[in-house]
Amino acid sequence: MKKTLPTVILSAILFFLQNLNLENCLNLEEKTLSCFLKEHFYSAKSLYSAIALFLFIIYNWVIGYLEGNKVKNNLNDFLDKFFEDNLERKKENHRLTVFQTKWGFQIFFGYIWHTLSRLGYYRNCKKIKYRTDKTPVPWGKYLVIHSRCGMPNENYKSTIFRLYKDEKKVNSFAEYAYHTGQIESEVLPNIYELNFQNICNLQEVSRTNKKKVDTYMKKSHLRTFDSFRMFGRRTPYIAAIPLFTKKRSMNYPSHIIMYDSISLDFKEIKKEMTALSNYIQIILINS
Amino acid sequence: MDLALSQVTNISPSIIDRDSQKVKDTILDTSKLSPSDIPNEVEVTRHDSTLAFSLNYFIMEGDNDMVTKTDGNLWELVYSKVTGRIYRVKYKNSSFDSLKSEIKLIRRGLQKNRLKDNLKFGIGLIEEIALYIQRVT
Repeated sequence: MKKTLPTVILSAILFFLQNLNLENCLNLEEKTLSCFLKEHFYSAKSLYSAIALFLFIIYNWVIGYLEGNKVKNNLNDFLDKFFEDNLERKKENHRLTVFQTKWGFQIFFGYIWHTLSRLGYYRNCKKIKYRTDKTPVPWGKYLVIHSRCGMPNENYKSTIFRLYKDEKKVNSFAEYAYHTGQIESEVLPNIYELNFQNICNLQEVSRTNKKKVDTYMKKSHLRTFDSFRMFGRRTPYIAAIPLFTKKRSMNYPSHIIMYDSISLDFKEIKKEMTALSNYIQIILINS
Repeated sequence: MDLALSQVTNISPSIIDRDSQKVKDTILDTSKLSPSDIPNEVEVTRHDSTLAFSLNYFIMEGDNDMVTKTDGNLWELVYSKVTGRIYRVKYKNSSFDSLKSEIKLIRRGLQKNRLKDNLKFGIGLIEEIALYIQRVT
């Protein structure tokens, strides 16, 4: 109803403006109010059509935004409840992220705005070059965060992953799961406590940790050390559950649920996670 | 006859453990399947010696992606060439082995694990349900 009524109103306005004729008014000496209005609308009917169309688009955009937010809030509450019931509210240990696929033009301005508003932070972390290199191209497809529960970066949802059709270009675990279309999980070397802020490439990593980092990158399907550095946290237990919620693109998932934890293996919580993903799937299908 | 998956023994997706070799052969492996690829409803019809299965998923695919294979009157199989999901199967009791070997052949020609696993799971599920029906009737 929220979208049907405005569509009907827009159609009626456009129909009225298209079929407006002044035949009955032309021969009148004293113009009635209806004739006066008709003449007024007739003289600027392209302008009024454009205004009606513009208002319609703005209205739909606002409604879409508000509804999208409602789904996100519902999903956040849902994930919060899951944390409470199954993960003992340990948000600092575990994290659940729901990614969704979007086109570059949908996220382009948001990404630029986010980078500019946190310029100081990225400068301190020496991540500006990485951020600029990763600026989304409007024709590319991306995995962006839909909702997230758990630390770090619960409230800063700026992570994006470019999706290529070529599987060889995969550069993260989420992208890997996107291509396989199956539940993927890995136990990675524990490098959680190591600090990589001042290390620019793999050669600078100490000999004792180099092998661990290398294995970590290989197992989590990271191709570049920059991507590895960019992570807010490097957890040993990761998993991805792809969801297919769009009928027309069943060969690639529309959403991916990422699980990462520093203390709990995915196998131990797989039963609950599968149930959770089933519910999330239903929410997303019906949203 | 309509069957919820949980009604059929050994088919609850949550009890599967890929690493447990003992149960691997007898229990269906769903450890790698996306929840979207596990059917939420299976409709079974029996007429004399012919069993027909219709598998429903939360999101069904379009007809354009479907492939139909048949061996005369012995069996008929409808599966998706995009996802490997099995949608419909009809077979006579005696021809199940022939159907299984056809699925093996199809799987051999596929590249993607998702398609292979979905086909394997689909036929395994049908076999389990058929066994269950034999037991209870």
